[in-house]
Amino acid sequence: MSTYITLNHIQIQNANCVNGLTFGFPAITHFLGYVHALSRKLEQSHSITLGGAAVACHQHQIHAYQPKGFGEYIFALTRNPLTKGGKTAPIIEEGKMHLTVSLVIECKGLISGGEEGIKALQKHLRQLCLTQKLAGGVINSIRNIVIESANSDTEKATLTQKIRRRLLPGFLLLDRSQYLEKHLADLQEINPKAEMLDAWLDFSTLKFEAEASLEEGEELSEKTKTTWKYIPKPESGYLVPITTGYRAISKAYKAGEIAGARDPNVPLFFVEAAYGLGEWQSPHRLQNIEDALWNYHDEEGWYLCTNQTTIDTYTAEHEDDNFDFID
Amino acid sequence: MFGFFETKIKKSALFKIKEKVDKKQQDVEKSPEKDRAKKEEELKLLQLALKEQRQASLTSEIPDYLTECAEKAKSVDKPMLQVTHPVKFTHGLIPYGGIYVKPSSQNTKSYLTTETLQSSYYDITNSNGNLITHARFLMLNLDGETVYNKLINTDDSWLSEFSKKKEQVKQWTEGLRLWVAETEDIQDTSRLKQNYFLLSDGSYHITAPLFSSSICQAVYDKVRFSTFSQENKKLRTARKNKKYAEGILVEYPNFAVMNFGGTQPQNISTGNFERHGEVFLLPCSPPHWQSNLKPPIKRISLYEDEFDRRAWRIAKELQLYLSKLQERKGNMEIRNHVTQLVYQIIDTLLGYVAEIHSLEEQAGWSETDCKLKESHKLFLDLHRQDENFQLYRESGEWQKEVCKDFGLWLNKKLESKTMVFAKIESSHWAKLLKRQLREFERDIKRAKEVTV
Repeated sequence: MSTYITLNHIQIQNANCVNGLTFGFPAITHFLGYVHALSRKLEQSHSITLGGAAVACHQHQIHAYQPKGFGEYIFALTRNPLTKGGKTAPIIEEGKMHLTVSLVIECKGLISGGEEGIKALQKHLRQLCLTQKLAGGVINSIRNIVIESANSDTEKATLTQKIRRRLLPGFLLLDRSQYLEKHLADLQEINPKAEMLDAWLDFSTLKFEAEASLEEGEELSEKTKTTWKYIPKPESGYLVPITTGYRAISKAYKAGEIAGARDPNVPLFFVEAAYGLGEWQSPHRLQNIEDALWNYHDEEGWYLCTNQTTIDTYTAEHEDDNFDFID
Repeated sequence: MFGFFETKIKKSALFKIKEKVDKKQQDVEKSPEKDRAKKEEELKLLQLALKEQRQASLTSEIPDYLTECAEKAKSVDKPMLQVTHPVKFTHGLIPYGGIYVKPSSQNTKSYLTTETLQSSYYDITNSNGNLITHARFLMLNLDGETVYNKLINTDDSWLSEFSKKKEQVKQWTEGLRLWVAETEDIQDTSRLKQNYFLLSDGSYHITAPLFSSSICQAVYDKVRFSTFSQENKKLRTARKNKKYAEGILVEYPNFAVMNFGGTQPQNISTGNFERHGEVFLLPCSPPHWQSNLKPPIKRISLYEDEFDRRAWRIAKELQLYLSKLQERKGNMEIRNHVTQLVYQIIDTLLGYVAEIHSLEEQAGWSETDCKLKESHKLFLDLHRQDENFQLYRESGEWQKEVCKDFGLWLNKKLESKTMVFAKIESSHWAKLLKRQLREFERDIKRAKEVTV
């Protein structure tokens, strides 16, 4: 049996919207961190734990503006208390945003008490979820909390349909970091010196190329009639650069090896942001809720959040959706 | 070396002349034909003066600077450190230091990390922001290697260019080398962010994230090139004027700028100073449509106006793709690709429709004064409180026309001088929508069944 808890339309105020060199949405680590904190509490109170989570965004408002009316954005800064001399204190810039998201969370363990137990848990969650901060921001409200289960694959498919409908209008965040490796390989075929940075940036840039329409016998010049064509990104979908976790950049520091460590019982590592790719996809195409769940994934030297979507984007969902154009 | 003095040391004689040369250069470019010859003469004179000053500085201000720099190192007893991740980006009050990550191709994955950078760029961090000019000197690249690296690798050959005397070179070497040191481990994590990370075995590690000045610099360079380089500007202008130009125009839409260090960027790191405290950020937010969306009351078809605007780019992409196909009869990959693009258009459509559906407060908008086709009304005005309306909606008959209209709309979008589409294509597009629309409507029905 698979059970999912949906926290529907969570309104968050003043969430962190800058992570590493990206801005506009909190890092996925924030959402998994929130879920994990909930999980620890539920383990104590209800003997259940939480697993992976799907993240959908319904609405967002970044506190940034374009001072020139076009071009680059800068962040609207908060007023900090004045220093002793009555001057504005040096500000550490932060990026903030308001947003509304939904989380669909895997629930592990049995919820005791049948129907009544589920209702009670829903009520409990209503209170509990509001008390924790999410992505550094305060939760203003949650529209509702739904707990649903599926006992078979068919039931899971039906459940997915219910859930995805609830998430519209909105966009699910899916992991597409694997595109980077592929795109880098493609780039290197043309230019062996291409590096991962080039591959990553290709998903953030808009590129255009001129196409000349030459008249009979005309020679190419600056006067030639030209249209500028948009060069599509390496893969389809609304793709964005995201921070998907961390890469260790130091050895482990154990208890006592370094001053100021938060917890002497836990090894500390210096890390840096690991940048991957995400896709914002409309929920109505989701066939299986599992495909949208993000989980922690660790390996030696890597602290990541991953999503097991293995959607092969070059296959049509139904065979007869393919079409042969006839000349 | 000359470049360093000409652009970074304001009180240098070289700097002053270079400034004049640059100004004159701009003057020449802006002046009308008739004045140009005279200005070019003046420019030539200035360039000659610069050349002469360079010769002079070789034996005067440059060796003087080296001596001063070497002496200064003795009085400041703290070395400067080369780091890829200066700690001060995380908190200005942390004692200077950081981590130095070398390029590596081991254990990499499908992510961008500092070790994957090919350039061996590193930043310099030091104990006092006032030492910024000395720090910039150490970052100076001479023939592919920075002064810092030359010193740390005990390579002194570059110094002999500025003095014939072995004694002098030795003095410089000893002094200058005091600036450099192997990067030490970070001693204190008090002001750093420390987060617990859950591992698969249920235990935790604490992760203390640091900012990569290296990746920052790499992105900074690319964005600046796109925004300010003559090369890209030329392409941008050509595109604006619809003129031909060779090359690919690269734009970074909607990037943001964040500042580190306020009015004293050198307090964070040397690299930060060189970047004027600026960090460029790339957007990662979801698609953002208008927040004041209204139902298409004034249109006859839902495919006009707002939806058309949203779907325009993907439709154009599909049009381009089809126009480039050598043979229309495609292989599996081509057929799949076309289907994928149409799915994306359908995604956009259903996303748009869902947004209209969510305007519950406006339910019933299709009743009065609405030009929309009946079948389109039935599709969009989901919450209209009208028994008859809802019965018709339930029957699903309207779906056929909605799909047909989609097919016709898409055909029209794809048509060009070289491509014509007919019923066979529009029917196919309609069929693609039909299936997704059925599921979409079924979801709506199911959602009504959920008791929440």
